[in-house]
Amino acid sequence: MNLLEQIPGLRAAVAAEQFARDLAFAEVPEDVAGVAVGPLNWLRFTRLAVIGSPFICGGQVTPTNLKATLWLLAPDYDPAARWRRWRFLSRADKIPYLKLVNALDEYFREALMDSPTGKRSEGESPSYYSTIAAQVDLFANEYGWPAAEIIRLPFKQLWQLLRRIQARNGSEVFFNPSDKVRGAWLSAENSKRLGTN
Amino acid sequence: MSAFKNDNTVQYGSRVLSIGTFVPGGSPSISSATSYVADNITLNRPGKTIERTNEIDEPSGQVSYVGFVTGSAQVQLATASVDTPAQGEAFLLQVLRLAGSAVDEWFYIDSVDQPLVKDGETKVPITFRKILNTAA
Repeated sequence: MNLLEQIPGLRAAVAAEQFARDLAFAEVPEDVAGVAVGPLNWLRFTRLAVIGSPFICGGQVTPTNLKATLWLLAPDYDPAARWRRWRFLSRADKIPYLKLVNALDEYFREALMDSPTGKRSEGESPSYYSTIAAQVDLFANEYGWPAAEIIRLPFKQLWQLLRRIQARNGSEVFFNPSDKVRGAWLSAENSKRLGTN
Repeated sequence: MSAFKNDNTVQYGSRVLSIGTFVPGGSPSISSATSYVADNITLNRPGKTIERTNEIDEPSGQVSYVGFVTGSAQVQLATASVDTPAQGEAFLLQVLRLAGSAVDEWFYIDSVDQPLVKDGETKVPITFRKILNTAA
């Protein structure tokens, strides 16, 4: 019996994450509660980090920072295009606030699904360059792509390619959203075992 | 020790392992076991060959023996509060043979790497070695 047969719900969870990964390369337009947005990439991520978007940096979501976040995700974002900004956000104004917040949460969750993990006991070590610089260097070195292209590559594609590079270089520990299903099943199994001991 | 005829590295994929204290005996078992999901289980069955040559160093004979069976995997913990597997803890692995039959083999953990965490899930790379004397 393999894990897919052994753990209830795992097959569906694995199929869902695989579908999302395939979809990342289908260039399907993305939206947040019906509002068309561009795919999350390093360029958009950095802009969001600069304004301290709560969806990236944490903190309280307010109507103001929600609108700022949405505008930075607009496919045709231009800081000087005031009329375009007004028109874009007026569409978002018609959508219930909570629905927008939940849709944005989902947008970021999906985009970061395959992002790298951190080490639990990571020590404090000095940083001499940004994460973006490290990734631009990595992808430029691996594929010969220019920096402007790398920072515009959708995260949903970039993380998968990063995993391929890591796997090719011997790294084998990766995480899947479906790990939650396995973890819940393991907890139940271990509780049952404790109960029988 | 009898000679063997092939050596190989076999991928065993993902399994649920019950890891705990090894209890030797005629029917070995594991006590105080905790369940973990292990990914990328790899078993390595190396060989050791003694070569014989003649007076002008031409090969004239050889004999090959099985080496120590070792393996590696990454185990997922149920929750962050579950202890990571410890060095010396053991588990049973059913190993498939070519004919499709399964053979029980016992392994102990000889190294545990740094835990990695993402979204509340924890995985730990381990390496293990086959227990040669399961009776005592």
